[in-house]
Amino acid sequence: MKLSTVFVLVGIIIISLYCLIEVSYYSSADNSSQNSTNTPYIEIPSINVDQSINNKSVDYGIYYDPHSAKPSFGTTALFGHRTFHGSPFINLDKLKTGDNITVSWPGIGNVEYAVVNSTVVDASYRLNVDQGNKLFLITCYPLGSDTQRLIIEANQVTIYPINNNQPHTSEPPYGLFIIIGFFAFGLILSFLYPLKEDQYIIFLAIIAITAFLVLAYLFPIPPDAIESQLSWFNNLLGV
Amino acid sequence: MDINNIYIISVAILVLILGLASSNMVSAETFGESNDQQAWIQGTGSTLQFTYLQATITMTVHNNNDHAEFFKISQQYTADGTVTVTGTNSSSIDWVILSTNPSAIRMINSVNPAGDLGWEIDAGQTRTVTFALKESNPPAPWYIQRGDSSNTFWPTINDPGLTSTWFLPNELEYLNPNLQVVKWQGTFFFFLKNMVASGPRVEGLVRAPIVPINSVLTSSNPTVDYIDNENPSAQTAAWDVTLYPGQTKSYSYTYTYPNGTSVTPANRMSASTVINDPNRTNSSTTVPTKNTGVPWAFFLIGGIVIAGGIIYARVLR
Repeated sequence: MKLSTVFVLVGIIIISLYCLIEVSYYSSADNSSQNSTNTPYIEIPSINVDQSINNKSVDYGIYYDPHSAKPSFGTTALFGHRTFHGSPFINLDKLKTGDNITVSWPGIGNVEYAVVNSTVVDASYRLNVDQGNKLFLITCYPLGSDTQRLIIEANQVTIYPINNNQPHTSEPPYGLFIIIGFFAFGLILSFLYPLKEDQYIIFLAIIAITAFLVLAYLFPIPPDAIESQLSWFNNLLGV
Repeated sequence: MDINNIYIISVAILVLILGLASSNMVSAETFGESNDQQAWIQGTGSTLQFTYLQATITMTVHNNNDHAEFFKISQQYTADGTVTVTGTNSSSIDWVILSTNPSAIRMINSVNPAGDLGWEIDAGQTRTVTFALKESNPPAPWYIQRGDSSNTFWPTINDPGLTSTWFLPNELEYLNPNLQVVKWQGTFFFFLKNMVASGPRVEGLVRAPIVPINSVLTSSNPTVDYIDNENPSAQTAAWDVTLYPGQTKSYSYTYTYPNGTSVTPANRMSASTVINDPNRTNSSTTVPTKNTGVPWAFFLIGGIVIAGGIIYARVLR
């Protein structure tokens, strides 16, 4: 096996780790029983966000911090990833003053907020959650980095009952698409690889990693566990 | 088999999977199924229980009257000779007095012949007494009752503390205006036990089971993660807890009345700032911002390594 093939294999493995995060994220099935009628949702039409809120971890989507108040009972803080983990807040920086945010909270109602401010702070920043009926959306900044935080501040405008017939967008099987995309990428890579004698090696590696991703899709690994390993690599490289 | 044939077969499989995936997507939309795996957690079964609740109360009481007064701790003797603090209703905790210092005297009680325990405080005297209690009606109240009621909040926060006479330090002054509480200090201890033998770990915010009002939290072990000021008259100690199946953790905390040096929660930083509100003090509740990004750098390095390998292979060829 040539040195160039080793390089390619290392690169494939690195990329597959990121694919693993996303595949696990999209396929994670919670052991706890779920009841959609108890699930809060957030809707931000201007950046096409219509997603459930979880109270487990920011690695499972949009996360409600239980240290903050529930909507209409004080200051609510919601966190979401900007990159990977479904990237629910990837376009959060595009929110403008006056944009509408609706939080549907079972037992409370539809709480509407209007964006009033956006701020970028250091990652060590601590958000005050005693600021009245406000909503704070927090994500990483800039895109692809976790050195700072982008905080969107919104004031409560109104509250009204939840319409139970209100549909929420169901998500396509993105995890499967990522596996297929990885497999297709690997096929093209091995097909175009100049050293014909090593094409088999790359092809077999792609098959093996794809099979592993399929396993992760069927039996999800907690995405935070994978991310902590990636963070270790990133820290090791000083990136 | 020629590798080109393998590629053709692989592409065919890929197309087949894509077709199946797209048809699956259509059927999911048709039936309105949600693929959200991030649903609100509706836990199952009772998990956590407070156990071995104990309290040690030290009071310094001054008698302002011109004659002796008795400071009693409400209790009664049971038939078997044990002393039990009377509960006002079935839902309250019954307490057994473990010790008194100095030794309490048995007081005359016209209603209950068994009598009460207390101390005599002479006119103008200031006296410090200590008594220790433990809950007597195991099993202690479940901390989290789950499965039989809908929870829209997880981690669950329990209702603020159970109260009793000595846990409302100023109540003594209401009951007997001649007795002035100079100082009150209560140290509480409890175990938190995950009663489930197997399964996933549980995490949540646990608030102190007993919180005296108008008092200051002066110490805690482990250090509290935050102080809940939802009840304006009480500084409710709260811990961020993770418990694995069968795991038990111990907690103790001390409140002082009428004042004392307040503890600083473990996760509260004095340098916390406030958005758009420069007048707000640092004592407000703050939360750390979560890590909400996976750096791309390593991903880019992966891409560069692949590109480098291909270029190197071309040069090599």
